[in-house]
Formats: sequence, C-alpha cells, structure tokens
Amino acid sequence: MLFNTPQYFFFFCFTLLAYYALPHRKQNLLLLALSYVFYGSWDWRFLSLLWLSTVIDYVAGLKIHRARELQRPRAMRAALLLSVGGQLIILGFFKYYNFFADSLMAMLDRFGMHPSLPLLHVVLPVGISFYTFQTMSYTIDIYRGAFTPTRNFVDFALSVAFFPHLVAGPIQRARSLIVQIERPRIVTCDYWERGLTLFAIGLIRKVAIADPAGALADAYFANPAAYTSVPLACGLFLYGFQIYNDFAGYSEMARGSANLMGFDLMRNFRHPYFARNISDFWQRWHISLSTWLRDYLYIPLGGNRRGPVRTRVNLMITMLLGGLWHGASWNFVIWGGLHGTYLVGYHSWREWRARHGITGDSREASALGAVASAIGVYVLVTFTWLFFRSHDMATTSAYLTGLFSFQPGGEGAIVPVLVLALMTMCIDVPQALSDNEHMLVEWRPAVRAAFVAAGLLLLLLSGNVGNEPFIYFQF
Amino acid sequence: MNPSSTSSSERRYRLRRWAINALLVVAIVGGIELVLRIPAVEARLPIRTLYHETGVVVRLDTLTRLLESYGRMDVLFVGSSVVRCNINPSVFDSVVGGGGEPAVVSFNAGLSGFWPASVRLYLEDLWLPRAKPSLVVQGIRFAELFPSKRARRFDRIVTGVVESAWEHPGPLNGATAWAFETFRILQYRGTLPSWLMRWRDGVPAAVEEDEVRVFTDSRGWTPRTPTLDVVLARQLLRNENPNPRLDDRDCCRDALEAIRQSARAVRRTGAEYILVNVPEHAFRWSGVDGGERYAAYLTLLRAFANSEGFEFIDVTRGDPDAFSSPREFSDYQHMSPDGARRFTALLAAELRARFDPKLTASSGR
Repeated sequence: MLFNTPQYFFFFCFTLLAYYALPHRKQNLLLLALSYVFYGSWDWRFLSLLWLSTVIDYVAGLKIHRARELQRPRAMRAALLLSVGGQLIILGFFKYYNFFADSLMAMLDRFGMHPSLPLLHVVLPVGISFYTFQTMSYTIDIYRGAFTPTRNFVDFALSVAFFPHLVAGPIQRARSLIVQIERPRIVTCDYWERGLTLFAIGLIRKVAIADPAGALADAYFANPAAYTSVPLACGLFLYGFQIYNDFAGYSEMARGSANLMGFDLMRNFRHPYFARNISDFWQRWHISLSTWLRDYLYIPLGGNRRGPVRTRVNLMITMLLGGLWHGASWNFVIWGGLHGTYLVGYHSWREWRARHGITGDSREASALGAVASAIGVYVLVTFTWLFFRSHDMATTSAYLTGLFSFQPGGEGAIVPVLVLALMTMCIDVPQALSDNEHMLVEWRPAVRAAFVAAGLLLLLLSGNVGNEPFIYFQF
Repeated sequence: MNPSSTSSSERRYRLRRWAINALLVVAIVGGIELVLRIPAVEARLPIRTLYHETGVVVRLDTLTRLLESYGRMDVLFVGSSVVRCNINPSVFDSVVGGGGEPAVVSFNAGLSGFWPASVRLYLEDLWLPRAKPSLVVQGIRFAELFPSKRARRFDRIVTGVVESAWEHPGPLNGATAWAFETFRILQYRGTLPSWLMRWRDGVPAAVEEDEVRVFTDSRGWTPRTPTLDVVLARQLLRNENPNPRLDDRDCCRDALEAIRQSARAVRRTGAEYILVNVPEHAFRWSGVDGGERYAAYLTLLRAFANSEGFEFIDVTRGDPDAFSSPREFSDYQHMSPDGARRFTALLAAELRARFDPKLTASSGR
C-alpha cells in the first residue's frame, strides 16, 4: 500500500475517522493494529520478523534498564549485545548474506578454491533497514542512560510499527516517538494545515517530478551505449531529481500523515541540492540516517576527537557502512566510499585553510564562492548518483564511457532536465527562502490557491498516480 | 475531532480561510477547464487520453462534429482497421443518396487492431449511445474470427479508466468514468511524462500515435497508401500467408459470441445490424483449395447470421478472386483508396437495394 495510491487514501481516511473517535489508549491500540495491516499488505509473512525485532528490543530495553538500576554493567552489556546482535543478525541474514557469500566465493575463486556456499532465495522484507536501525537506537539510548524504557508493550510496538514511518523512515529516534505515543495527542488546526500541506507537496514531488524523471533516467541507464554525452549527463541530473523528489516526497507524505494524527516526525530533507559544501549536504540529505550514523557509529568510533587521521578513518568507515546500508551491492559501497572521500577532502581543505590563516573572503567573493561551491557540490553529488543507480559495474562502466566520450548531439535532452528542475525549484526555493516547509500556510490565499491549483494540474497531467513504488522501499 | 486547543473563533477563522482557499482553487481549476474547451487551445494540445487509445478520442470528436452538422447519424460502420481503411462513408452516402445533399449520413468508427470483443465493447458503450444510428454495419475478415495476440489486446483495453467502467460496471468505476468523460482537465492525464519522454534522444521525437500521423477524413475514413504493387516492389511485406482451412470451428467461438452480443446490443436500441465480409486480396485465398476455403468461411458466417436473425453481406458473391488487383490494395487486407471506393460502392448498392425505404425514412427524421 503506497502513499500515492487510492488504497492508501481510503485506508488513511478510515484510520483518521476511527482515530478521532477513540480515547488516547485505544488510539494507540488502533494505530498498532492498523500499522500491522499496512505492513501485512506487502507480505503478511514478514510481520513475524517485525514482531521478533520488536520483542527482542522490548525485552532487551527492560533488561538493560534493570541491570543499570542494579548497577550490573556486564548484564547491561549482555542485554545490549542481545539487542544489537539480534537486529544485525536479522538484517545481515535477509539483506547481506547473499552479498557476502557471493563476494567470498568470488574471492576464493581467485585463489583457486571453488567453494559452493548456499544462497538464499528470499525477498528482502520491506523496511527492514529502517525499523532495525530505529529499534537499535532505542536500546543504545537506554544503555547510555539517555532514556528510560517504556513498560507498555503496545506503546513500544507502536513506536516500531507506526505506519507512516515504518517502511522508509524517517528513522525516528525511539525516545522522541515513544514520548509522543505515551501522551495524549492534541490535533489542532495547525497540525491539519501542516499535515495536508506536507502530504500535498510530497505527492506532487513523487507523482509530478520523481516518476517522470525516473522514466527518462531509466531509459538512459537501460542502454547507455545508445546515447551521446549530453543525454547521459542529463540522465544523471534526472536521476538526481528522481531520487530526491521520490524520497523527500515519501518523507513529506509520511510526516504529513503523522501530523494529521497529532504526531511530529523528524525532518528528513532540507533542500539538499542547495548545500554549500559536501558536509552541509549530509546535514540536509536523509537527515534521519545521517544523524543516526553520526550518533551511533561515527561518535562511538571516536568522531573527530582522536586526531586528524583517525577522524578521516572514522568518516570513511561511516560513509562506507552508510553506503552498504542502502543495499548489498558494491555499487553502494563505491557510492559511500566516494562520499567518504569527498568528506575527507573537504575536512582536509578546511584544516589547510585554518593552518594558513585563511578565515574568510570579502563579502562579494564569499557570495560568489558560495554559489560556485553550491554548484560544484551539486554537480559532484549528481555525478556520484551514477554509482548508486547502476545495478552493476558493467552499466557503470558503459555509462562512464559514453559520458566522457564527448560525442556531440542530443543537446535537446536538456529540455526535460530544465522543466523538472524548474518544478523542483518551485517547491524548494520558497521553502528555503522562508525556511519553512509549510510555507503554503503562510501565503496569501490567492497565491496559495494558485500553487495548489498548479500542483493539482501537474498531478493530473502526470497521471501515473500509484504506478511507481518509492525507491527507498527497496532498502 | 479529538481534543483541540484551538478556540472556536480561531477555528471559525481557519475554516473561513480554508473555504476561501477552496473556492479560489475551484475557480482557477474551473477557469482552466473552460480554457481547455476553446477549440483553438485544444488544437494546440496533445490528443486527450481519456480512452485507452487516442484513436477513440479522434473518432469521437469527428463524430460529434458530424452530428452537429447533420443532426443525425444513419449508418455506423464498426470493426477493425479493414473497416477503417476499406469503407469510405462519403462514397457510401453518395451512392445510396444518388449525389447532392446526402440522403443518408454514415460514419466509419473502425479502429486498428480491434477484434470483435473490442468492437463489441466500444459499440455498446460508446458509439451506440452517442451516434444513435439506425443501421450498424460490422465488417469482418477471416483472421478476426480466431484468437490471436491482437485479440489479447482486449485485456489491455479494459485497463483504461473509462473502458474498465464499461467492462466492470460499479458505482466507483462509473463515477470515475463519468468524471473523465465530463471534465476536460482530467482528459490530459499522462501527457506531461509523454511530452518529456519525446525529448529523450535530444530532439523531440515524432509522435508515435497513428492518429496524429495518418489522415482521417471527416467521416472517419483513413485512406491507405501506397498500393500493393509498390509495397511488394519495396519488399515491405514479409511472412504473409494465405488464409488456412477453417477446420476447427470451436476456435471461432469467442469471436462469434462477441458478434452475437454486438448484434443484440444494436437491436436493443431499435437499430438494424448487418455483418459484412470485408474482402481480402485474392492472395489470401490462393492455392488449389482456395475456393473451398473461402466458401467454408462464408458458409460459417452466413449460417451464424441466419441463426442469429441478421443479414450477412458478401459483395464478392463467393468469388475469392473478386478483389485481386494490386492497385486496389495497400497490403493483403487493407485497400487503397481505389479499392475502398469500389468495395464501398458495392456495399452501398447492396444496402440500397435491401434497405432503401429504411434509409430514405431515416433521412427524413
């Protein structure tokens, strides 16, 4: 059941009607039951995995807390190990086993050994990367003493399964969501306006921008050898629009849905293509994952506290694992590795400037530099999507060959890029200028109505509502 | 609603704001709807997409204009591309009416790739209610009696918004179809991605839709060129075979059932239904037993028509070589304008002789 389908519309309308009619505790029960219905609509068999994950961390959270009260650090560590180890085993088994088995066999093959490891033939459970990371944050926070576990199983289970964020995030910190679940929600008009605005903007992003951009990008990636350099470059920009609008659109629809029930989910994107540098990009792109990796991987590895070399190593490890989080494929590892390299390069450059006393430019030079830097970051990030999008190294290689062949022709392929860029900017620029993603609410009625009508028209012209799944569902 | 911290005056203010906003949106969308109905604007836009294929929209628009001009519709031709190319309504009208102001007004609603099941669907739900003809003539050729991959196209057709409501009637489907048939703004669904896709290769690609590329006259006739001799000389035809022997009549069951339903749907409206054999080039019936194969095919259709109580017309009178000139064809089943003129004239003569009083009466309505 995708957010952009009529089925979800009816499901959500029913949910809202029932939700508003019930008192707080029963609302939680209702949401839990409907969240399981929502998840089961993909494949009911994977509900058992969700339950297993929920039970492991519920029990582990209580045990860690109990051990903390009894001042038994070993028991705390054991319970944490049960939680993190259990989640990683589930994730590793379903998502990474085939990748590592395949890679190991290929490596041993080079040394003349020909082992035959059994491969799994199972579908990746929807949203597994998202809910395992979220539940891990729950037990780790309890272990750190940052949070007291809930004793109410329904509340905890709902924090894991809450349908707006279950299958593709935002990867909500358990502590922020559980607090909202435990208290009665107050759905004010503000929540309604914000929720509807976010949902509408998300839907426009997905249907009117991401899906058409994806259809074009797919054509280029399906047969890169058939195109000259300009169309292939356009293909990368189109994929950049697709993945951004697809995932940001999903996140906005998720947050809009949650708002309509009185919940606040964390913001996942802050117009990332306006980032001034690569570090800034990662503070704007998939914020819930990048902050998760920062809080639960980069900082525990030592962050930037152990000297410049270790900082760079930590950055690379974080980005490589961040890449691998997206999928069990070397393309994602390369993508993460490249971003890690960019970050290392950026930090080195910043340190070099600091060492040489270069603190700032004149105002004009600074403004120009910011624009040039933003364009540079955008081009670099867009180029790196190539490794993310290609399903195999052969496609990557063919794409790179065509891209850098500098064959003339096909310049008109830039037209869809400009159209879709304009559409993206019509949403992002007002949001960025007002630093308000619900900017519609503040606008004058006539401007707001024109924006809504234009969005409606674009949705109608796009037409393929509900036909394309969200990219991040595969992760 | 659940507990709300919003005061009642605040809520009233918000509701007023929402209402104003909704009204403004409706006004803007309504304005766009009106603009889309301006013919000069519509002419510059892509063909509307409310039906499974744009050909239906083009035909429907042509039919609407015809009805506006004449105020009536007498004879409706339905079938596949062999009807679309081989029956010229203007010729038909002039032969039946004897020239001058048409005594009858006919229209060709044939559509490419439409096997009998698809013809039945559109006839029942689109053409009959809109055109209200007094006579429906369905053309058919041998190959259309058998299931083929073309026939499977029906499954795709009924995935269309409007068509799915015809095939699977229900309140929700019906309301959706009504909305799509009523509001222009909904009828351009999917045109943005199509337009963007045209730029894929760097230059705007030619529109692939047949309806935009080929000429269709104001009566729905689509002439087919060049002639068969040219086509053969250029070796543009491959893998063409004569029609086989009609051994297994069960294979025709689905097609005959669809024709039966078409005839019944026509009769329910009080109109007359006629089935017509659309002649193919003599090549299709070549070979030592060509005459027998042709006779078996015609016998099947004649017997079927008799059992169902409608007329079956064969202008070839059982002669498989009646249409054999390469100048009268564009391939082995689609006729050139010359062939279409001859076949239509023969058909008109048959119908005039049989239904002259009816046609004359209908023209006086």
